[in-house]
Amino acid sequence: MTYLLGIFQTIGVHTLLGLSAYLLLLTGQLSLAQVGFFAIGAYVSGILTVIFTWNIFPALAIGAFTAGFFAFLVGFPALRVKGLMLVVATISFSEIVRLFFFNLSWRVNVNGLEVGPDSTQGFREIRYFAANGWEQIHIVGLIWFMVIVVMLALWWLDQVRAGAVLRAVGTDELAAQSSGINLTMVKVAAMTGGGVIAGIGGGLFAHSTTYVDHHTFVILLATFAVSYPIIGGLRSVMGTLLAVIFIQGVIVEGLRFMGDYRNLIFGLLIILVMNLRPQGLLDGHLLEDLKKLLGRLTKGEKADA
Amino acid sequence: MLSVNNLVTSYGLIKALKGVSIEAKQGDVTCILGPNGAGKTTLMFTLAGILSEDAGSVSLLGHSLNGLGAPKVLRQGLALVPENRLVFADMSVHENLLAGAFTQSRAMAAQVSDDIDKMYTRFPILKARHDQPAGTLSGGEQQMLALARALMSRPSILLMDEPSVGLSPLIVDEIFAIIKQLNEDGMSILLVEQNATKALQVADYFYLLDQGKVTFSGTPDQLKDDDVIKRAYLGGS
Repeated sequence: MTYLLGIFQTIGVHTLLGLSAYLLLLTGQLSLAQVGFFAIGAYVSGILTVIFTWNIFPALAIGAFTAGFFAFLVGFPALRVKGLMLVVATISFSEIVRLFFFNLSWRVNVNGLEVGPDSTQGFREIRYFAANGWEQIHIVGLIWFMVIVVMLALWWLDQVRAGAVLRAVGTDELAAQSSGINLTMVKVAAMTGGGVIAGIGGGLFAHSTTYVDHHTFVILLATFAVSYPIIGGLRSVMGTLLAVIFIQGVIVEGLRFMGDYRNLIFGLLIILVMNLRPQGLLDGHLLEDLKKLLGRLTKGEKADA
Repeated sequence: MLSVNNLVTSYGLIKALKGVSIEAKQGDVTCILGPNGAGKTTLMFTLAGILSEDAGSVSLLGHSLNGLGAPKVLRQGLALVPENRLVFADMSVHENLLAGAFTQSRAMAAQVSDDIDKMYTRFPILKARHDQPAGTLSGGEQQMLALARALMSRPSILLMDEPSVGLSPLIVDEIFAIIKQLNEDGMSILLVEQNATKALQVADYFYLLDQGKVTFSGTPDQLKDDDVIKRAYLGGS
């Protein structure tokens, strides 16, 4: 049971990370900065609950806000460039964040114990949940509550004008500009929103694992973040969730006996999807087919009744 | 109506427009001819606020458009139909039309809905394909959609960048008939074209742009009498 809950926990946190990249990918921007925002959310919320003994909810909110603020700041210069240059710029940001936390030593005596980020030794005492009597099921419940809230928010965004604006920018920047869309504002807003989502994910990750260090926030995690929406497809937020379940549930966990060779399969999967389903697993056609199937099933049930 | 004076636009050290001055009168179709690399698209982008000018001035109905940026220029009433149509391929025809009204406020939802109905009346093929992804339309249909999308912003003047490019002769005829009809309905149009023969059917005034400079301006009759233009653009000897 604990093992299964652990998988749910991982899938939930990675879904948040993937959704943060999904939002930016809607505008056609490939960013590897999500892991940097994730790290900021993890450390800031951890510091607030551990050193300042805050409640988890305001700590998560401030962690997310701080990550969003840095995403906003990074957005302006980073989004002046596109494609590979944006990838390089955002990798650089993530590495700066990682190396900052690698060097951050802020040890404080709280209730007779020395706690806080300890540079190369990592940040070990993020035990808010255990100290406040949370069971693992409650932690998984909180993570999935946040996943559902974020997914609903992104789904709603897609139903209103803002979603169409994001997709318009992602489809064709020139056409978007000639339709009167302010490219910089849209891209920076998407970057900021993605930063907030990654920050929430990072905060939940730090508190559910109780320990983070600079090794946690390497580029591989950033690669995972952008791979989920690319593999899942950008037509629906469900695509990202499906991709996380497939990669974390099937490839990472199901093929654990293969050890590090799983990374080869992960790479192969990306190449296959790029070639065979460039629109992602859950593309427009499949989504339409699923809607029709659902419609038929619902009609069938009504007829039976 | 649209007045452009000594416009200079550069890409880094390269000057693409070297002091362009043109005038587009209200109710007219003003055509800019020119070979590839003349700076026609750069001029369109600068007028639409997509590129920033280095020097010179642009004004529409007496209001300066300098430095406003694309969203504000569109709100001032200048809409661009870019070259190669550039529709939002994954969005439906209907969503593309809504995209043309992004600059309209939410309070104008009823007006937007009316405008979409008007577009469907003007372009019946778009109504027939309203829920189809725009990327699956033919080239001519995409051009109509790009045009309709630009009209959704209720412009005072429409900038059309080479609407005939990449289309078959029959479709080009259809597009030019639409341009003529739009103009007869009162729309002022600034048209960039390489197809001078077609442009002569609709335009009231011509400019020839070459290497970033205006090298000719005149009426259709003056254009037809110019030997150089006749040889280069009208297939004459």
